[in-house]
Amino acid sequence: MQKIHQVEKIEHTLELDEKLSHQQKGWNVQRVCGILILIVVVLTALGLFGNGLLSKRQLANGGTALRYDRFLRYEKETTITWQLSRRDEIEILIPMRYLDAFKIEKIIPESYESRIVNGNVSYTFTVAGAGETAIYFYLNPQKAGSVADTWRVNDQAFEITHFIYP
Amino acid sequence: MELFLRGVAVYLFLLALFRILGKRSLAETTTFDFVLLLIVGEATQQALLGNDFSVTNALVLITVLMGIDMVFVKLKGRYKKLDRLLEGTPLILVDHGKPLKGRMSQARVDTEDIMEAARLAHGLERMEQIKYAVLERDGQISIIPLPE
Repeated sequence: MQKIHQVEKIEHTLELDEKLSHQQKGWNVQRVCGILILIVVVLTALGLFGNGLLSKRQLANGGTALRYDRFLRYEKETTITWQLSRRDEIEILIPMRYLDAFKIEKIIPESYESRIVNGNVSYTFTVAGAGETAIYFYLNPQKAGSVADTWRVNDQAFEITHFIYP
Repeated sequence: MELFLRGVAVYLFLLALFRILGKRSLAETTTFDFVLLLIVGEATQQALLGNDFSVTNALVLITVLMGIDMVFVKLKGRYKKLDRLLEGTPLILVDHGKPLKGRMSQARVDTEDIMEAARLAHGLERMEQIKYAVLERDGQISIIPLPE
């Protein structure tokens, strides 16, 4: 174990202003900040700034599952994934207010019909055949800050909240 | 406006970070530290420029960074406290051949660092030949030898 030494006070003949009390304050701040840096590193690994345990959100309701990231970064593309059980038609309503903060880069599958309904953008997908359907929205955040809004999928409401880092 | 804010944010963040990391960490730059600094530079560049790679953007950004630096230099000249806060103060590490272990451990300097500075600056061979060793504000160790 490292031996702890006291900080020595000395008399000297040099023309310099040591300000030992200031130095000691600085060392204390450095120690605290060092711990904070380590905490930030750990939280980053856990996904506080996106892509990790703290950021991943999964919601499921009546055969519809949603996956998205809670923490996003400005102009860093993100994916919102919907998984739905067998239906003939899927309608997804996104509030225009929500889209103020995002640019839609791409939607997969691309064969959809879109229109504007009561302040929402509606995307309608026609499904043929059996099986589960997945729909991906690739979004690019355009504003920093908090964004919370409700998407509706075939009349089921899903509250989506993000924090977009600058 | 956004460019200005980016410049200010990155400038202040780097200023705080390097102050927190301590002056010795820069003074003792190893080859790997140098590589790390290059990576920091690369990451910073992305944050500063964003997706705008125009010459205008680069020139405005350089002007903003230089401007902020100029303001800080002026402020440091005017306010001694701010100068001490941002640049730190010198610290005596050896007093008449006696290494001040408490100070050295806080400043993360070891005897080897001091002897290296003593050899390089004055060709000294032993600790007893040093009157004062001072960790300067820029992270360098200056050596004042004892008279022969």
